[in-house]
Amino acid sequence: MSLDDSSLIHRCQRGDSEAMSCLIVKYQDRIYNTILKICQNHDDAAELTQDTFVKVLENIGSFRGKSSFYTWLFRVAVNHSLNYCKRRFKLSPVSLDAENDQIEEGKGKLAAVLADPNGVDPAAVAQQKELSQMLVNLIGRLQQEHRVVLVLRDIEQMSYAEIAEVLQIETGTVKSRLSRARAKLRQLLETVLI
Amino acid sequence: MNEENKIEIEELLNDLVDDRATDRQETEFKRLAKHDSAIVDQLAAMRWQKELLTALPIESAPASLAEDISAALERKLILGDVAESEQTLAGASHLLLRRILTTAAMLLIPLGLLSFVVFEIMKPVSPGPAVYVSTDETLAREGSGNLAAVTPVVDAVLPFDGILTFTTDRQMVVSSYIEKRIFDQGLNSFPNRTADVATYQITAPPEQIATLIGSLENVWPHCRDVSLSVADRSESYTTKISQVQAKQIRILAAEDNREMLNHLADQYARTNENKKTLFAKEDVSGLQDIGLDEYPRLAMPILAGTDDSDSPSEKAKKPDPTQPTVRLRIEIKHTVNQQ
Repeated sequence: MSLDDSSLIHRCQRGDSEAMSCLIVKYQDRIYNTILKICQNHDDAAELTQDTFVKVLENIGSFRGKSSFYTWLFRVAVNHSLNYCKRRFKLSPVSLDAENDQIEEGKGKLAAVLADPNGVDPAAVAQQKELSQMLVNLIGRLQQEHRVVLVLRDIEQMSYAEIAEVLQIETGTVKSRLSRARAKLRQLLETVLI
Repeated sequence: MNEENKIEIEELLNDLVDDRATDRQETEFKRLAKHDSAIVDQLAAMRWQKELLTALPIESAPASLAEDISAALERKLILGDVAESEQTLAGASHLLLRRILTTAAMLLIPLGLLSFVVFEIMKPVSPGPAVYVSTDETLAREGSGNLAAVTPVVDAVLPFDGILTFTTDRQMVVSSYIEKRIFDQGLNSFPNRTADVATYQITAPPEQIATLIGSLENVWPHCRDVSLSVADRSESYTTKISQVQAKQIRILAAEDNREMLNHLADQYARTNENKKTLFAKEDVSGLQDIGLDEYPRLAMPILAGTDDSDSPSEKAKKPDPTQPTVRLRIEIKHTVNQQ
């Protein structure tokens, strides 16, 4: 079975449920992972991922291919997630105390790593569950617009142009937001050392 | 280092981390690194941070996510289709019904109004109280307020059509007496009086004619001759009965068979001719005693009959428009003219 997006989309537009399943399987993890980093909650991420695919596949007939399906899918996912986060923040603001408790758990380990980062493989650090969870929580402390850019660039590894297309902003804006997001995260990591 | 320089250095390091730095930027970084070794450590920390984020494990979506998405998609599509189709069908049927009702109303309302108008024009006029109109030939009725609707009520007209001629020396007295009797019977007589002859044209049922003739029997003795000319209504007068009797007139007037009428008239004519002596040549001066003097000698106005208790309004019977009628013309002639 070909996993080429254009052929899958063409089949989906003709109502091929198998092609829809292929598209879902192909992108579900990446979408779920990105949404999870943005909204910081597994259940919400699962629900938002489901809603994103339903929305996209419902409107797949109107997809004309002016942009890539990949960026269109992520645009829907990010917008849906950001809207959800705005509503959730209004209804129930995030408890910083709970996050602080999680951060405290990995604080000691991360402090040791960051004390001499040149001697530690970041991939090995990231595979430690406590450290990775603490890092994700720190990402959650970033401003929403900074967090999204950082996730799309450093985790999803999108190009500047793709990020600009997903967020529908200028490339220069992506650059400045990303610079600030990294600087802010660096500051947050330094607070762990104190 | 001011804030602007700090941001510029951050963006420079950012481009270097992402391998997007131009040659000029790399040259600038080397120049800065010569003066500040901390900036090299900062770049290293940023690269390490990026690698750390890139190395974060990818969280797998729940295993049932694909199935949940498919199920949600199918449910939504099916419900959407059903709801849409139901709404479409309901809307279409509702719209069709409204269109049919509107069209029916547009057609039926003017049609109903037109039908009502046509019915009002064409419906038969309800028969109102009949008014007896005495003319020479017909009875007609006049609908209430509808003078145009005059139609003959009685088609069956008896064949009798006669001229009863009284020849007397006291023409004025006799004619006044007869006119009073006609008035008492409530008959229209269309009187026509001249110096020597008075005529009364009467069209009435035979019963009323018989009653009138019966009331005139007192006149016979005061006449030199009473004759009856009987004619078929469609022909000229054919039979003249001299010295006719009141009873004979009543029989002839009631006869409904034309041939029998002619036969009886002929028979009475012959019989009366043979009885020339029935009418005596009496002295008319003795007529004062038969009661004619109780009436004025001159012609009496029809509505002046106050000397009598049985006034026309009480005694006269309304003619029955459903009965067949006969026509009788009464003439009162003076003897001189007769001679």
